Amino acid sequence: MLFNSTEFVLLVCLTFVPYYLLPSKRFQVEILILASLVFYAYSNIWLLILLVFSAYINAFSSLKISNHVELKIKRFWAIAGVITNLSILGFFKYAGLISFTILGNTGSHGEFAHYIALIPLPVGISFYTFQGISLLMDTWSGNVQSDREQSQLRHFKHITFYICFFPQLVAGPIVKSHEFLPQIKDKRISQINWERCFKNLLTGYFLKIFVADNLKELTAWIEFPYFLGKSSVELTFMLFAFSMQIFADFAGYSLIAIGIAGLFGYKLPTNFNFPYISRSFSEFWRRWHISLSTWLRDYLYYPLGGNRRGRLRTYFNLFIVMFLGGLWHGAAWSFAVWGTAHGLFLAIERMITRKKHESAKSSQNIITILKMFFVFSMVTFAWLLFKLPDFTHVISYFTAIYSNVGIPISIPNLWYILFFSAAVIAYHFKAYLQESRQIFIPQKIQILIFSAMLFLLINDPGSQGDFIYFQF
Amino acid sequence: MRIIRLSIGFALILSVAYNLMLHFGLDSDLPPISPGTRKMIRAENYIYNQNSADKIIVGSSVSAGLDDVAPEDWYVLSMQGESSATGLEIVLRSKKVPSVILVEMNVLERGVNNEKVNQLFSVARYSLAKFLPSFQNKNRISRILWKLPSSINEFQKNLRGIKTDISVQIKTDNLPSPEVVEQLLQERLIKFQKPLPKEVLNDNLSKLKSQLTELKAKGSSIYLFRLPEHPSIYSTTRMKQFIQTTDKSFSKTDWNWLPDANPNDFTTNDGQHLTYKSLAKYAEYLFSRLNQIQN
Repeated sequence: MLFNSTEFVLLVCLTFVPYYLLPSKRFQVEILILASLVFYAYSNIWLLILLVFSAYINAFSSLKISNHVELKIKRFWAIAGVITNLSILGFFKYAGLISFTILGNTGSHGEFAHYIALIPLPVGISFYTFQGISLLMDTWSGNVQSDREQSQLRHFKHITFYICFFPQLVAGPIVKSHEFLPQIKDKRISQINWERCFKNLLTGYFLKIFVADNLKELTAWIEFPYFLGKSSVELTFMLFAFSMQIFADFAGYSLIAIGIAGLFGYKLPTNFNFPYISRSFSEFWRRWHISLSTWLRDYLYYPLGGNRRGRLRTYFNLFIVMFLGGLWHGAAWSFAVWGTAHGLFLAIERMITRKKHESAKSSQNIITILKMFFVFSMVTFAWLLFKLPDFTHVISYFTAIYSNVGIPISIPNLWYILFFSAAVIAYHFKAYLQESRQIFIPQKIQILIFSAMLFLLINDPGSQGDFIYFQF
Repeated sequence: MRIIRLSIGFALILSVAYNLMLHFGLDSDLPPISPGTRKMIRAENYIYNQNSADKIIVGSSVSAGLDDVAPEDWYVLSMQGESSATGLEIVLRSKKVPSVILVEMNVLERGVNNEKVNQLFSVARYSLAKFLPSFQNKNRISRILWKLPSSINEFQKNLRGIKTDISVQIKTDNLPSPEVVEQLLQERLIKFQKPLPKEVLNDNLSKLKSQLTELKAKGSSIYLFRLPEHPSIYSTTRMKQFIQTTDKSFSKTDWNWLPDANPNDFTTNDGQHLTYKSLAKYAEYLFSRLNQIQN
């Protein structure tokens, strides 16, 4: 079920009313679990089995970890739980890729690989599996204190709710258990911060429906061989547009999720903090898909030793974390290449900044802007791997940018790209002014901006489409 | 709550003002953002225009380009990614009865796109778009704003002088590179080596037949035609299957067929779609044959 569908709006309304209006608040969690199951089962009811199974495995393992005092047994259940989670993810997400890599694409082995590739990818599996692992790690490390008085049934109920909560179920933000579980308590309608919910929902829907869905129409040409007929200028603009689109699509989704969760009294973590004004790659990863970056940092980078085991080991850790982070995005080697490229950017950057002893931290505006431009350009080039999974096509794209100088430019396409990207540029510029100059927008201007966003959202929506991150 | 109330209030005022401006003739010549929007505009113009053309062409992207070259009294309801059946469904649902309908018979893989048709005729959308023009795709802000700032028009003119035109891709024979054309042709040849599943083809043809029979009964004159494709396509399994099955389902004794043109006289840019020049040439051929038959 898409956030921008009528069915979803109906589901939220039908959940909201009994959630707050029933005299007893005892069933609030049950109401949200039911709504979450309806949300997930809407497109394919059979996928529910896996979701419920995942919730059950994590509830069971976490209960075992917290109930035992002996460290050995605790460790056993933590490892068993994590392996089960990763096996589920591996089977459904990577079986096809692994079979093709090992067995090849042709012959009888290839046929078997094709058969394996037919296993459907349950939507959101990467997100809820990571939440399950977060629960087990947090329970193991004592970050989640389970209430020993709490009944087993209540424990299972809360964990099911944590795994299934519909606003963040299929595309995040990935909520860590120690952030979410303490929030489970009775909620009252008077506690809702309406203004914050309105801002998040409006900005989210605006980014998704007005920006991303319209830019999607223009970046559809980034497909082999169609892009070969486009001019150099258009090819460059389309790449820029895809960078804007992927941000608007994913940040939009996250803001809608945060807004909807806020309506039910839950606070989800910020997932995007204006990533395109980053001055370095490490800053970019502190601003882009923050819930994934912090998940990888807390549950992978730190356990691997982080930056405490020497310079070479730090570079290796960065590299391996980004490689796996890339592969998390999709079962294709192009995603691994994308992750590796970012790992490389981070490692090189770390090498350079170490040598310069942070002297690069210049306050000069022009240098800051040049750095921003450089980071944005590199990030944008790397996004092409999301659109063109075949590496040879990526090379063709860059070759075409170089060689298609003589092909006439389609001015309307450039206009549309600039028109729909302008909002994302303004959105980041506002953040830049706030962060660097402490300039804040007065409320009267904010009202005008929100009115304009609402007006544009109503009068120029793009054609409805899936969220890009649903595929992950 | 103040910020919410005021934002919604101002947005409504803006929308009312915008609808008034549209009502008083604000328009744009900017091509739509995508082929998808182009087809929605084509369908909406047909549905919401009280004085719809009396002669229409329905079909897929293969005949959609006729829009630029057909005589002015013809309305081209052919749409990219769709089939003749979708166009006919729009005609039937809008309760209009054209006097002449030209039906393109090239694309038979697709039937009625019910999702699209239901979307166009859903009560909420239909009523909103009928009374508030801003809900029609042709009036999207991004198109209309193009017209407003004169500086943009100047910029456009300057660039046009160099090597651009807002419709350069359509109105000149500025083809993709020969390698791309060849690759697209090869892809199509591979696809057409396999026949279409019989059930799909029969379902699509029987739906088409029932739509045409209904319109015929209401008084429309129906003419079927096939645009020429790349000569090599005619030896593929699927093309042979199409020709054989349509000739059987729509026999020349019961249905008016316009004679096929010689494919060797025309050029395509991907094996299927005619280039602009070829399309103009074909339009001349098509309407002269139609006149001959009608007279």
